[in-house]
Amino acid sequence: MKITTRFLYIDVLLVVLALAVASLILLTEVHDEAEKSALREQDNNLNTFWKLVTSKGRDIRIVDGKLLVGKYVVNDNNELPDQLRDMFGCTATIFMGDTRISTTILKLDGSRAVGTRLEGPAYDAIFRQGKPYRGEALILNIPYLTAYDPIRNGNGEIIGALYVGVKKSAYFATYEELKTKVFILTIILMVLFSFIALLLIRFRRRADEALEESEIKYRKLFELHSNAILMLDGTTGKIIEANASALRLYGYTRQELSAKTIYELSAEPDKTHGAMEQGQQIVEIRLHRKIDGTVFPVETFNSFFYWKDRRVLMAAIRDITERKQAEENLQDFAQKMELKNKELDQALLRAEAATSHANEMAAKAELANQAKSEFLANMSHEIRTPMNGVIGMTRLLLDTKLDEEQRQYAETVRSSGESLLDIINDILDFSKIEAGKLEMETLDFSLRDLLEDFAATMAVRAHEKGLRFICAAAPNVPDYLRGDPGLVRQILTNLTGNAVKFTHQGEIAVRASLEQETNSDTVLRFFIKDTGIGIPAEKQDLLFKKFSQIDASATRRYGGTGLGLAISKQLTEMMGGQIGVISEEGTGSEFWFTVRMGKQPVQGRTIDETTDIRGTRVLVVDDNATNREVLIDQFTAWGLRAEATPDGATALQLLYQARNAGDPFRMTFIDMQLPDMDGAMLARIIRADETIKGTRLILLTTLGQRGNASKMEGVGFDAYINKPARHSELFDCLTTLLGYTTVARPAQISVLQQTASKLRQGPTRILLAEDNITNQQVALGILGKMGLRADTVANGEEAVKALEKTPYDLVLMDVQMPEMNGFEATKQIRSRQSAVANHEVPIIAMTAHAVQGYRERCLEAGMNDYITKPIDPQVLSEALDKWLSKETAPVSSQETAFVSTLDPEIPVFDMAGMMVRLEHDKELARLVANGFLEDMPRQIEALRDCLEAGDTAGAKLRAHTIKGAAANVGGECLRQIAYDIENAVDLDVIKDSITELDAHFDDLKQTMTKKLLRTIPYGGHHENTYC
Amino acid sequence: MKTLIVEDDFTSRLLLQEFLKSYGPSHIAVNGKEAVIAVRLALEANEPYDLICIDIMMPEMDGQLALKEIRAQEEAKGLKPADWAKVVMTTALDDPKNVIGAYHNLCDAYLAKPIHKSKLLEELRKLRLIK
Repeated sequence: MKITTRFLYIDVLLVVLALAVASLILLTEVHDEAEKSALREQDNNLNTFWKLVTSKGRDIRIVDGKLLVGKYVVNDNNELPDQLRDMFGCTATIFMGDTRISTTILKLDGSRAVGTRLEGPAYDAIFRQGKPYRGEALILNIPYLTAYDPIRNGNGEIIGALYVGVKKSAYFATYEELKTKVFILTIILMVLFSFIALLLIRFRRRADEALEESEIKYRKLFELHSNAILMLDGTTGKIIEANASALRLYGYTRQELSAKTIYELSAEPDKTHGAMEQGQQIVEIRLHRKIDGTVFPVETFNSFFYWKDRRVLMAAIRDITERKQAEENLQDFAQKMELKNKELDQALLRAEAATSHANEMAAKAELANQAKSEFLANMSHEIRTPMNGVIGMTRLLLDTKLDEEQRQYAETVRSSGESLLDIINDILDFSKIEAGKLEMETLDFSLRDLLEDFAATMAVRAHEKGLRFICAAAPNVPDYLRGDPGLVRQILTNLTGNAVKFTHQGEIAVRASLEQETNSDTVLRFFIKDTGIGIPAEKQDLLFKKFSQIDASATRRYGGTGLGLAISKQLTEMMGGQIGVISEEGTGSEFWFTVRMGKQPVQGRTIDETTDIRGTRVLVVDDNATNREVLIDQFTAWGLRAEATPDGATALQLLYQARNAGDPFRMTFIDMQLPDMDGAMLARIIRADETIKGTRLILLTTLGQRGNASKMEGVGFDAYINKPARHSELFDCLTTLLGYTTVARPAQISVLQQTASKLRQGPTRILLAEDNITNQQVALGILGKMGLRADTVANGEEAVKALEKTPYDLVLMDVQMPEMNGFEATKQIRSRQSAVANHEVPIIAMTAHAVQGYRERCLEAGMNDYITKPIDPQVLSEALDKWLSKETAPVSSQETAFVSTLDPEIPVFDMAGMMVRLEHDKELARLVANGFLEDMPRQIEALRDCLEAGDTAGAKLRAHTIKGAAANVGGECLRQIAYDIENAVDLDVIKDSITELDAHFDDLKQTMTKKLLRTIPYGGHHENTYC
Repeated sequence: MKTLIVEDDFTSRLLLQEFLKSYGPSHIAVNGKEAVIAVRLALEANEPYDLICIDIMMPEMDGQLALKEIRAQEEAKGLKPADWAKVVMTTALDDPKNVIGAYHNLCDAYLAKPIHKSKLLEELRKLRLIK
């Protein structure tokens, strides 16, 4: 504040004044002291002067104008003043009358100042008043302290005066000095104090500003607070201050409000009074009134304090209209909730009653279910027995002589009976388990034998669908177990059967691994992994429940009761295991299950480890990673040094490296299908090189794969093994080929061959797709005459379904059928996406359209052949002969050496292959084909010339050229025959085959023309489109 | 890209020529002897072949022998191996011994007959002859 600043100025002024006064007093004191001492000195001087004067005589008088003391004449006699001057250094003068007659004082010219007169106050004092005088005078401009005494004669008359003077400076030097010092000191102090005062003032001003700022801040806080704040006189309730919120809340202006009391704002003044008197901090809810008279609820927070001995109330007031409203709503809601709660309680009571009722019902149902299962178990068995009779007898019946109608009926009985039996078997198993009627056996068995038997049967089913099948147990899995092998096999069959059913391409791998092992027990884990359609994640939970396939459409599409997995689950649980699945839709599924098995005390015969095959270096060439892994695992377990590679080129590299390292592979296992070259080619390459041909070659073939064993042998394989390779077979093969056992190699091969060929035999299964009953019966009748039976379906859709279930050997397909016509059905059958077991099944079209071009349409749709209606038995018979013979006809005898090596599946003209190679450039295909057809007769002619000239080498070279050209245009049959000629040893044999070469070329020319060039007219339907 | 196609078989020649026609000129030789002459002429003209597609089994002189002579010529001309013509051997599937021989004689790739357009182009891409 400004006042304090002013106070400070006065403070400083006072201090300065005090200082001045103090120094003044001090100076006066010093001055007085100097004066006193000067006066004393003057007195002394005068007294001494008097003594000097009177020493001349007491009688003083003026005689004749001369002042006489005794006899001493003073005028112009300076003796006495000079004496005094010499004694005290002062000035001295003797006046006669007022005239100087004797003096020490000199004039400016140096002469004595006698004759001058006394004037001024000294004269007045001496001569008018007759008193001594003390004073000051300037003599020659120097200040002197002067003292005058009157000289009186004997009569007391004043006749003169004595004067003594001292220089004033002699006595006041100290004073003058002190005066200067005090003055300077005072100035310094004053400046210092002023400076301090300034600093203080500035500091104070800052403090003042801070205070002001703080004031503004709190004022703002007060003003801008969202609550209305009133500052009241604690006694009268008068409003002292109000903030902006308060003005807004009540609607008054500041002046209006400051003229009011709190009681005027309250709608309940009595209660307000109470609050004012209580004088404590309280929160209250009150009703207040606005300027317009509206009464509204507020929450007030009152706090009292004392300010300048005045009791002040600070009231913070908040409008709580909305809150009140919300509270009311909430209360309303709470009430409603309470009502609802009561209702709920009642409902719960009812529900509890219902639950207990339901539990009772469930218990009853459980009992009923048990009873039902038991009943089913019994009944199924009862049903099964006669079913076997029905089916067995029907089979017998079908072998007897029946008329067509009878055959048709019996056939239906057979197929229906078989389906029924499948379903009954599932139900029987399941209900047996559910009813607890299934008894587990405890038998000693060999796990590997079990797996190998299982694999042998499953592999056939898998290969029929064109799937790779792998089955192996990890080397550390104990072999000799104790448990129920039948149940293990049943689970494996169920899971693998499903895998085959739901997989349309790729592979199925069954593996066993060791989970846990103690001295007496072992827990095994089996995996069944497929590359099938997979199972959607949300459906996986349902899998192991009874009667559920992943969806209803799947049931229709794939058949089955949906009990298989439920049965498997029950069985694994019975054997102390678990079952589960990991699956990704579209990628495949991996089912697994564990079982606990006892171990036989002695692990019986194991693979004869004494046979020292350990350390043998073995190479596996297979493009399938799983196959490689299985073999490598097994070989490693036997102590072999095994390596693997997916392709032929790398295999060759490895073989060369091994040779160069002086550690060649002793055996090489080669898969038939490799990405870069086929197994046969790799074998030829190996056999052709002296340096690496020492390795034993074993062909890995797929069971039922269309190939020819003797051809393989011709290429140079030492043995071949069907995949999945049996443990024991593999071992025997190793020991035999390495020369450790005596089993003869050819014998082994022949055994294996037999296994393969046996699979091809068996009854011929024909599917007839025909909607017209009469036509059906005709076809069936003709077939019957030939000793063939057929299953009948009425449209394309049914045909596709039937092919999913049964691997038929041949399909007779009507083209025009309801639902799905023959073209569409064929497309589906040929599509790899469909569930059809054999996509390559021969399909013969039957149609009433005997026009040219229709045949092409049929062939384009993927059908193999075409016959017209009405069906001519002769034509049908020939067509069947042609298409069924490749399946059933025995390999012809040795006399036609080349023909025998021709795979019956080899097409005359592989147009599709050619188009792929030419990237579907049809124009180029035509160009090349035309060029080929023109050039080839010349090549054949050249070959013939060589033969006639007896030039075997030349002939072979020609054959080689023909082979290459034929390969380029997809002339597979021609290429094969050229290959045979190129590799033949005997010239005569080649000569024989030249006719065949001609024939094949003609075939190719026709087919090529028809399929590709269409320039040569259609020439009947009897020619071979296949070799 | 300048190509020499060495094939005794008309169909094979036609195919290779057609496959390669959009990549530059191609010359034809029907046996190893012609091929050796063609390469010599090209080297003399300082316009060597970038690519030689050569069959193995051919009358007069076979592919392997021709290849040996071609390489000898290139060496005699003072070409660095990096500048030698890339050689793709085309051979019928069943010529094992020759395939190995071809590798020994420093051919750059081999293709089995029937010739696949996509495979041929892939090999050429690997050899950085085409993009």
